[in-house]
Amino acid sequence: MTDRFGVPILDGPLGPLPDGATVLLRADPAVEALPFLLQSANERLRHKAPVVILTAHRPPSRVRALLDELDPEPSRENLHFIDAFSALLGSREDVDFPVAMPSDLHAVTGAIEAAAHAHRGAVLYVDSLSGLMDHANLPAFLDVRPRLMSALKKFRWSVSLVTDWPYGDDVERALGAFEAVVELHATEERVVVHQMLSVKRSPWSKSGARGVRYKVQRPGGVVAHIPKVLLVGPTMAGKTTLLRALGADVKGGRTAADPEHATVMDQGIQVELLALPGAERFDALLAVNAVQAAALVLLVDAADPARFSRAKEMLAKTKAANIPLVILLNKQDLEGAVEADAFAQATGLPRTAVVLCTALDPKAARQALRETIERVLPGAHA
Amino acid sequence: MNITTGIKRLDLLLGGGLEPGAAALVYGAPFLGKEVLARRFAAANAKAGLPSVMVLTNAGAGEVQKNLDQAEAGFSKSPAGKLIRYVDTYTLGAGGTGEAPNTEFLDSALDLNGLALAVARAQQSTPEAEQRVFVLDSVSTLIAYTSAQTAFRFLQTLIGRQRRAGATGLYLMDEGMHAEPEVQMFKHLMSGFLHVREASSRPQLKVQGLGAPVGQAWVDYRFDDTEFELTGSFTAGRIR
Repeated sequence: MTDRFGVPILDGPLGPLPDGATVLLRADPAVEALPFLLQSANERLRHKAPVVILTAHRPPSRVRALLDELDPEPSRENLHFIDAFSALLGSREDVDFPVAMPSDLHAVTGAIEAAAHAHRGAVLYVDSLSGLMDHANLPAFLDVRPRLMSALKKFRWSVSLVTDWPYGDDVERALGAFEAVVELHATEERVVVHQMLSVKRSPWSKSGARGVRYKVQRPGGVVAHIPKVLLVGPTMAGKTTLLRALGADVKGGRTAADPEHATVMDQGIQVELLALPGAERFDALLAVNAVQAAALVLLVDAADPARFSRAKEMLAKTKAANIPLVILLNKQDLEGAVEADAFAQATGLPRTAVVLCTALDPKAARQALRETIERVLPGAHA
Repeated sequence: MNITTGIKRLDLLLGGGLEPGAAALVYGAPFLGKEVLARRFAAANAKAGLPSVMVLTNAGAGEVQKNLDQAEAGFSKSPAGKLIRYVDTYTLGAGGTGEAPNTEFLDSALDLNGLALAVARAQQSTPEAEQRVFVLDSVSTLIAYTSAQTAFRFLQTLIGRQRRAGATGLYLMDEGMHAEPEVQMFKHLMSGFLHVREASSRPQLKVQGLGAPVGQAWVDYRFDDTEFELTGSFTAGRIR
């Protein structure tokens, strides 16, 4: 059984979670945060490991339905609930640990302690710490906090979700007791909300993660989302071949001027690739499409040094600055293909950006994609 | 361009409707037609092509759609009607099945983050628009389910979001359910308010802090299930 969080986008940045680890997920309002808990719980359940979910914002039956929405496969045999919600609506569900008065945070903590004792080695998920604060009040939460934190440590590890309403400094200090903190932010473009993830701190990993865009797929779960990787290079450099070797359903490309685009998944990371035509008459598209690109991939035919200068010219015309650059030196299977040092020397382009590649080979194409992802999201592949 | 309230003479009283991005507290005792005003507001703006989100905590979306159809046959299925999206925290808790179209259903109004998420989803499902409208019916239920402080924190975030999204909003609140300091606290979040009351068995309305009102005295109105109309006269700050 892995001691990873169980959501690929967080596994590397958080690192392996030790016994008693306490993880806090702080989410802006209107950001999808619960799927992180549910996906992690599903992962534990898939391995038949015990899971306890404390519900403060929805009935356990709803949580079961939401778990199924992400993945109905794992057995629910080892799933247990502390229900700190139903009583608020005057109802009751048949669960192991019902809380008769959710506004009594000592009673809630008592139920957490009982669950830890009854299900040793279980992971605890708290669906809303802010819900618990709201059911009682802030002074009551601050009063119970030491006992609550000590109860959380009785689990294999625990993950607590809190919505970042404008609380005061007291709450801020109280939340400082969690060992690892993941922040889920919203960036707004009018009514569209983009979701970003950052690991603010984790004592168990050095890789970190900052400003990683994500979305939630149902079924499926949380995936990192790289919204635009621009693929440029002279004609016949191998752009379409690369997209096809990645197994992508390539769209567009109906005319010479029509960019091709494809969505590719790799280990829980979704990448949108946009390949621009290589002919000079379409060079105006380079700078236009480079706007807001997450990374730039320059594809070069390594066996055709006569076109290196054209590749360099295309790179300059993107006017891209401060975004990760990957230079895929393609067609390494051909005789006369130059290697990284020779290419860097011939073009003056950075040697560190060069990755050797044979786009015809799906494995090599996949490796090239991972190199690109690694530059956009360092440590994303745990 | 100002945003219509959906009631012609109320627009006149406001000096030409609501300012875009305004957050108006509609405040008064229950059963004085606040929700009728809110529905007229959403429907009139939908007809003008403005998308709208209505958060419902006291009535189901199906019921509201039926009411809108009663006011104008076939409205909810018309292109304008489809510009209105609903976030319904009432139906599931009342044992309903949640089948109304264009609606996000929530178990209760307790999960305020779920509510914020549902509002965002509902808004994202509408067409792009420079201006849009928003209705929360009601602030009082949120306070009853959580607490004044929690609801205040939620509204502070929600109103900011709505303004940035270009939405003009009506936020309904029942008089008599809350202590005066709480009411004042919520008023501070708003651009202004429409106060309704009953005096001598006549419903009356007063505008404060919104638009460039031509009068700030109490004005008679009448309403039924589907209509809301100002009947009292007003001019240059006084009732004639």
